[in-house]
Amino acid sequence: MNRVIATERLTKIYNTGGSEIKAVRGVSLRVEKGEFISIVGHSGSGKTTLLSMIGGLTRPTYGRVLIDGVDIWAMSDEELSRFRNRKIGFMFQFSSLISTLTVRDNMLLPAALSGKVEQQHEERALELLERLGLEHRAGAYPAQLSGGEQRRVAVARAFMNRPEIILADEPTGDLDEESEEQVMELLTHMNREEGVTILLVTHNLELAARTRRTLRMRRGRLEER
Amino acid sequence: MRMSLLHLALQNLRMRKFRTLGVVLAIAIASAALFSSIMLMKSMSSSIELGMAQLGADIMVVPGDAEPEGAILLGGAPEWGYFSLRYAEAISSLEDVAGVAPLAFVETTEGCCFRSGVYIVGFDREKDFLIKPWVEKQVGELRAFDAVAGAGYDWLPGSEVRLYGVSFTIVAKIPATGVASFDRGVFIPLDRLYWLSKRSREAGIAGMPLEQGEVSALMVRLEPDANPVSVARAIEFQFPELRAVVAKKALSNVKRQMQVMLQSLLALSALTWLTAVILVSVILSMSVNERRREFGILRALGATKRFIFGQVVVEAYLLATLGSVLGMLAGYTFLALFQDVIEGYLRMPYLLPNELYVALISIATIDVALILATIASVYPAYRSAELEPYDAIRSGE
Repeated sequence: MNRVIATERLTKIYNTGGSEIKAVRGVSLRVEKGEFISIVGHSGSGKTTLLSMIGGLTRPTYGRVLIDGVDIWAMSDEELSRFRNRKIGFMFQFSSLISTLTVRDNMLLPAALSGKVEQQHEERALELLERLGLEHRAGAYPAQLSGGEQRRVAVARAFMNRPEIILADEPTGDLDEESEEQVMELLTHMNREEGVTILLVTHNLELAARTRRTLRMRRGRLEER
Repeated sequence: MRMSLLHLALQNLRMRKFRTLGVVLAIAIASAALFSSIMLMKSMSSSIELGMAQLGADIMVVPGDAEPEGAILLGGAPEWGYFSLRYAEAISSLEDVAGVAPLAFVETTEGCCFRSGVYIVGFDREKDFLIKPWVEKQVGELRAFDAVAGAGYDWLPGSEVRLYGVSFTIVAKIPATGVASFDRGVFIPLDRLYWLSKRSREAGIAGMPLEQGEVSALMVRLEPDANPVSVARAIEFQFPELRAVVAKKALSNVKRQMQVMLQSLLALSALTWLTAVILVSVILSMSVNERRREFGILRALGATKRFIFGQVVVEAYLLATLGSVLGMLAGYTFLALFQDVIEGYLRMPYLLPNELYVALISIATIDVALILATIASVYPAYRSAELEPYDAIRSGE
């Protein structure tokens, strides 16, 4: 298998009011292509910070993130943005839709940001919405959707540009059982059928058990479980 | 591409109506102030010059108790009394005087004529050098019941107007001067005006104050190289009961007064802009704070810093363009609708500038709005672009 993600002594220190908080402490992680990994841990253990550094959203204080062998934090803003757009799909632990755009436009955002929206993107958006039972909500604005529907649209959007990596931060938090199942089925399907590498941060140990490998974050350090 | 920076910006403005309306209103008020100030400045300055060129007189002689000189020349409505036409003869004989053209103004009263509150202007068939040459060039000799209309009327040649019970045919129109009594006057020969006065008295039509042999003003044209101030002094010396107003001197006085007023207007406009820039900047900063998560999400989806910066600036440009266009429309409508009121208040001639000049002022106003929108939006835009994406996404959690 090919190594797709590697972190080297990844550290994040926040300075708050003169005191230092070490959110992530020297994490070195290896993820092979096509892996489905869950990261569990208590609140404040550094799971989300680790995920955001891997995704190029939070600059590490020390250490490196290598994706396909390339140090993403050595890239320019243009390169890193393009990289995020093409390679990574994000799922956040809250609704992450743009409130002024319809569901359809929210779905097409990743394609629009990569250049041009074409017919194939429209078809892809519809297909993903159908998979999560939301095709009839394409013209609605986020405020017209339930919280669960908003979360599912955001999950579907993460797959729009056919990313190689999905970074999912509590994607099923606050979802009802049925919606949670739909999201997990989609993740499993994409992992198995399309070979997408998935890093799933969750509190839910049942969900973690459905992944192939589980890691635990404790006080900023990562341990095999 | 259906979804672009512009689409995102437009959607954001459309969906946040209250904020959009507030910013547009601020820019519209500032634009209206700027646009109207420049329009007023230009229209008044060109009206004065055009009016004087149309009048073509070096000195205007009026009764000694007439109003200040600026108002006499440009205020339009002569509110002083009449004096004897015999002075014309005496002034013509003075050294350096090339010609004297008597003018008599009669303000129409309720029920006497086609309309009240406008002027019937009598001019001398022989000596006039203001209206007569122009009429001769256009229509030749005026017949007994022919009249010439000021530029303020829409009448076509052949239209009939009723003056003190007598019907006159409009045969021509004189070009706009910006002087109200000229632009809204009906011109007939002086002898015909005296006849009309006599006839109206005999017919018992009230309201005609003019007597045979009276005039409102004598317009004096000098020989080339003559000194108008010396001639004016000579007139006032010889006829202390009269006042001789030198056109150029009066004009420069009026221009000076106007300059002070317009500088105040522009200062007020600058103050309005300053307020608008601060207001727009504050609103944009607040908006950017509210939208931190949105910018963070866009960054996570692949938007560059430049894209986020552009998003805020493009929104500011759209608001500035919309605000300035609305402001200019409001300003133009105000100036056009209240032209009479403004003219009456300022007691100065006032003509709206031509289309080309209006277009130039409009472009300048939009440019100012865009420059100031840039100033107001650069800092909020920079702050939005420099947000750490994940911090932005988690804000408001």
